[in-house]
Amino acid sequence: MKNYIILFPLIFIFFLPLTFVLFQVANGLTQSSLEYFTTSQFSHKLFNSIVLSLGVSISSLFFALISTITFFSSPQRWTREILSLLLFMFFFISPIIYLTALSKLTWFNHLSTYTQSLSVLTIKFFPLVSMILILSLVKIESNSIRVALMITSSKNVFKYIVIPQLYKPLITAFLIVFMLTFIHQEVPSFLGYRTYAEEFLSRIVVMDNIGEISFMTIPFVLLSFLILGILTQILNKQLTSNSKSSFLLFQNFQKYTFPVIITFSALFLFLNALLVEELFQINIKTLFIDNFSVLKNSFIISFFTGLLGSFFSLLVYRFIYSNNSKYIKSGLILFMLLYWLLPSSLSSLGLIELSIYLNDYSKSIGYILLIFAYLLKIVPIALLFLISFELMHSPDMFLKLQNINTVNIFKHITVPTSWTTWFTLTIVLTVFSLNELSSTVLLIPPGEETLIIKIYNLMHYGDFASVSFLSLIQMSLILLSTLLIGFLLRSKYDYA
Amino acid sequence: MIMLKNYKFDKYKNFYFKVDKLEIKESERIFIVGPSGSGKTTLLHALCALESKSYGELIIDGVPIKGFNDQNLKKMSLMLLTQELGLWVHMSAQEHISFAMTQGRSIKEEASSWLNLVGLTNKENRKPHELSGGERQRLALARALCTQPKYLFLDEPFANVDAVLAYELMEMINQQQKIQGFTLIKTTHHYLGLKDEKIIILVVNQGEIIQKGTWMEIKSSPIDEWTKKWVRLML
Repeated sequence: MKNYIILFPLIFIFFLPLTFVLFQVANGLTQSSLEYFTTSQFSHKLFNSIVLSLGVSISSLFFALISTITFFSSPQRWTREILSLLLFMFFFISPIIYLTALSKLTWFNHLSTYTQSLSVLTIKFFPLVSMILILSLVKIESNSIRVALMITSSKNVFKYIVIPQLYKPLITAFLIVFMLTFIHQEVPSFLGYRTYAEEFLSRIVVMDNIGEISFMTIPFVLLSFLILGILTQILNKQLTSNSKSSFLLFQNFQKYTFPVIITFSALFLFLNALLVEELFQINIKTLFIDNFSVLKNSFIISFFTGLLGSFFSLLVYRFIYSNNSKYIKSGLILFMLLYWLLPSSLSSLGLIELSIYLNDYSKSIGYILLIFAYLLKIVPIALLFLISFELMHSPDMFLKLQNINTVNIFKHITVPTSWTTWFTLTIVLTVFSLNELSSTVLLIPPGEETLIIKIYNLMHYGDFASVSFLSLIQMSLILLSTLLIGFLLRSKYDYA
Repeated sequence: MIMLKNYKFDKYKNFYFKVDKLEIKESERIFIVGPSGSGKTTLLHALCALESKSYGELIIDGVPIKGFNDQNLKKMSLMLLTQELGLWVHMSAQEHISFAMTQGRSIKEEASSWLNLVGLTNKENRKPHELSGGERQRLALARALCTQPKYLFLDEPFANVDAVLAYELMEMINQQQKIQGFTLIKTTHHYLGLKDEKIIILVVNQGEIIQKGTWMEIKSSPIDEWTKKWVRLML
């Protein structure tokens, strides 16, 4: 019951920005307001968005299959750990940093804006698909593979046993990457590839007509509801798992393990090398002093958001797992995932409308709204993280029987069993908050800056030396965080 | 015949499983017993090439086997039945049998007769989650038997079922062994059938086979404290 008292008001606040946007849409819905959707400008940008989303989804699946097979065919634990580290790094790093590095390559600049966007977003999203596939394969009971392998060839086992159990995760991964690309704004915006999300962001930045901009959210909301509807059908059975996987199936691919890991490592090091190259031409100490306040600012905001986000998501996760109704569980998860599949600028738009309603544009309100916007984006990620890695064990049943008081439960059970989860989650969420660009562009108080905003602005001015320096600092922070997460997760998981 | 020679497997830190030489002849019935954590499952896995990080020789029917993915192993007709069952969650009972027998082709009548044999009449179209715990055990057994294995490995498959069902299922296996003539290798905590004079018992403790013999032989001279206690309990 105590959970309900804290949780329900929080969930209400959580959906406030979306409610504001939808209210604005419903309030001003007329025939003329829908005319934008009949223009060629709309259809052209929608077409571009769909083509890019399809391209990124397909290429992400392709690279994810390679990395998944490599993961399961790796003979040693340390090779799997290196591959996991690389996948996490590729996923955690902002695509703006990839752009910074790749834009120094002449041949890359000669590619079409579509190919550039496709490449950068594939690097960003294929690790996510890999993680979905790896976790799905891990959940296939190992004995079901062993028995099948005793009967028939690996090829047949893959065709008749693995693929039928894997097609749902494959569709899920495809849909999620499709939607994440569809709503992605920063990369197309920077490269000049005209997509619908990019148009939406640029209109909010100019802020010419808030009513008209609100109408532009309709395709995002409809598409995210459609995808969540499909995911509801797919994921209903994925909330429970069997554990343990079969590494036996991919043993024949062992010879490809090292080439793939070396290729991924080389790509990662190459991107870093492109950034490091610039540092020889600048005074690092001066740059560090100049940017110290921005770094401090970003880190404090992100860490604070991470702490709040992990607290809230653990509360939701605990509620989900202590609730017996399958429909409440899946309904709550899918509603919480909604903001993940909507552009950050959409929730920021709702928050801008909220600030107009409050009639308060002070610096402190600006920061509160910014942290709120970060939370909307990171809480769904936190929930996915908790569900995927099954990170929290509920000791409820035993404790209920023993009638132990709440303080003692917290002190002797909750803290010792959950502190690593909370800490890991806080780090993950801090990293995501550090990378959040669209909300920051729209909501940061005037005259203030964060690391990602500074990188974005300096890129527009062409100050590559400073951009490289700041990008490397962000990379290093992410690398340290990833290593720390790996260390913490290692104690909870044994991949083999 | 299965032969394990100079075999060593690093299970955990400071825990090795070792076998100098072990021979299992065709149509023999081998029961592996021992305390929890002694290495019973490790020995069973070693005999069907499931332990990948091992050293030594595994020879089945005169052919050296390099690992679980060794193509020669596919020709040996091995089958495993474990406590976890390893059913295929996306397949119906009938599809389990069809896939096990033909790897894809549907054979309704034959599948039904195997399902009838284990008491799953009229449950052909049910998937594992639509069956009860006991029915899932029966399905796993039918899937194992229908492949007509030459070597059947059982890893405490009936540890979680009631004694009556365990007895029924074991009886089915015994009958099928008489018909099909397969070699049966089983880890067990159950006492069912152990006193049968045709059964060879391997006592495993601390990563080694410490005693081999029939019930009468082991009863007359139990080799260590655990075996003595175990024999006393069985009497």
